[in-house]
Amino acid sequence: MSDPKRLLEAGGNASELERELLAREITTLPSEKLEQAVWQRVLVALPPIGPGSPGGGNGAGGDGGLSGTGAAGGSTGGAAAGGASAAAASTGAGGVLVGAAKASGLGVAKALAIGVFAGTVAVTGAAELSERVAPGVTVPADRRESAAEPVLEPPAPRLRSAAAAAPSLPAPTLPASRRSFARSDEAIVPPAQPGSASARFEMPTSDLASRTRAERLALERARQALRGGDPGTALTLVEGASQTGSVLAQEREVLAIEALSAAGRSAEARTRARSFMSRFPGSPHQNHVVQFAR
Amino acid sequence: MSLDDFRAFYEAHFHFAWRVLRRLGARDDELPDLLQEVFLVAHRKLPEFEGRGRVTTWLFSICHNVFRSARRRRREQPLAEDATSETIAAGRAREDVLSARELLLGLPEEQRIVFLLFELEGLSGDEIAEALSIPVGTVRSRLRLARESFRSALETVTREPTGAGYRNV
Repeated sequence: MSDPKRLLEAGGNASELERELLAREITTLPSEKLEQAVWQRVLVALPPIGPGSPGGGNGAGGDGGLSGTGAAGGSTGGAAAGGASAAAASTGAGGVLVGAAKASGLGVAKALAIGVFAGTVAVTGAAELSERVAPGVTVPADRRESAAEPVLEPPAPRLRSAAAAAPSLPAPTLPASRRSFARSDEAIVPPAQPGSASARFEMPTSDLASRTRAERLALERARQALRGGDPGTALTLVEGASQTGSVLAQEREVLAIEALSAAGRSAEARTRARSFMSRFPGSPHQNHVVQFAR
Repeated sequence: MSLDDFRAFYEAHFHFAWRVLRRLGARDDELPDLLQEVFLVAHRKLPEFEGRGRVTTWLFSICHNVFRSARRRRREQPLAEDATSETIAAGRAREDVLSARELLLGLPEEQRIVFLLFELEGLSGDEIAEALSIPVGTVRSRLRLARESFRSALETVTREPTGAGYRNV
């Protein structure tokens, strides 16, 4: 017995309103500020990091010598550290922050990470951290007026094809009479147009963080397309998002393999799966990918 | 695992963890702590991850356990947004209620979890069965009930007197 069709799939037997609500929900994103802030907190609470670590920011630096086997500190410790450094940062005591970090056994890199986090928290409330308006989304004027969150993001990647609604995944645009459904602080990733060769991202900036975000958004759209039974669009999006040395290389490859397999291109999926297994021998995806390599 | 590798893992799965936690019922002000804990646990356990299933099902289990632990610690705290008809009757603004998430939060947890994993995250019945350690038949029966509950909750909202404009949807 197979799974039933999903409500958002073609023939999924969902009402128009159900589809709108679900489509909006699956395309809601967290804010980038929250993602950065949580990363800083995670970094602070991880086991000691060697002097070569990037110490936070976009995390794009070299290997910090993270052991991966030490006990994690837990959220309470991290939150406490963040709070303490927020207080230090608010008084402008950057030197004190590093000094205190040294005295308490924290590395300087982690202390700097705390400082970055403190700076983030100092200007950001918890609610403000939660959700964001995604790049490339046209926000109705009435929502723009009510949006309280200041624009703090760098130039964002733009989606080339966001206008048309996909049959299997309707765009979460709401008629004027229903705009009250949409909260002003939600973020939306427009679905891909099935079969659209132009469904790929423009990269308006060379900034690594922006490129990573753009790639991730593309991969999420590809996943949506694959879920909606459109492996061709998924593959186009995956290939369009390809970047050399990307931190999302494994995710991209897994998605490409799944899309190739779903498209009936088994030989290509097999070749790519074998390549993946040799490229990423310690990947947590290994046992998932191996099924495609046989 | 190097910091680069873990950063890549974080980048790849942060959105998933955020979606799962908020759909489980985490409040906005809880999310930073819960997300931090999820990724610390994931970092600690990643070396033990044997890859028998998908990373997402494994990470979902961590999210679920972290959320439940937080709920046990703060048992007096209600779920993020109580989207029951009683709340609506108490005069909440309709625009705050009518979202899939709000409707989902009114479902029993076991139905909500199956619904969010199947309908919103695209996991298969087998994958959900593995993540929850239940038979796939149970997944499907919970999904059927969840859909009924979801539709019933939506109908309740759209039948409210102030929702007259939405009746014919």
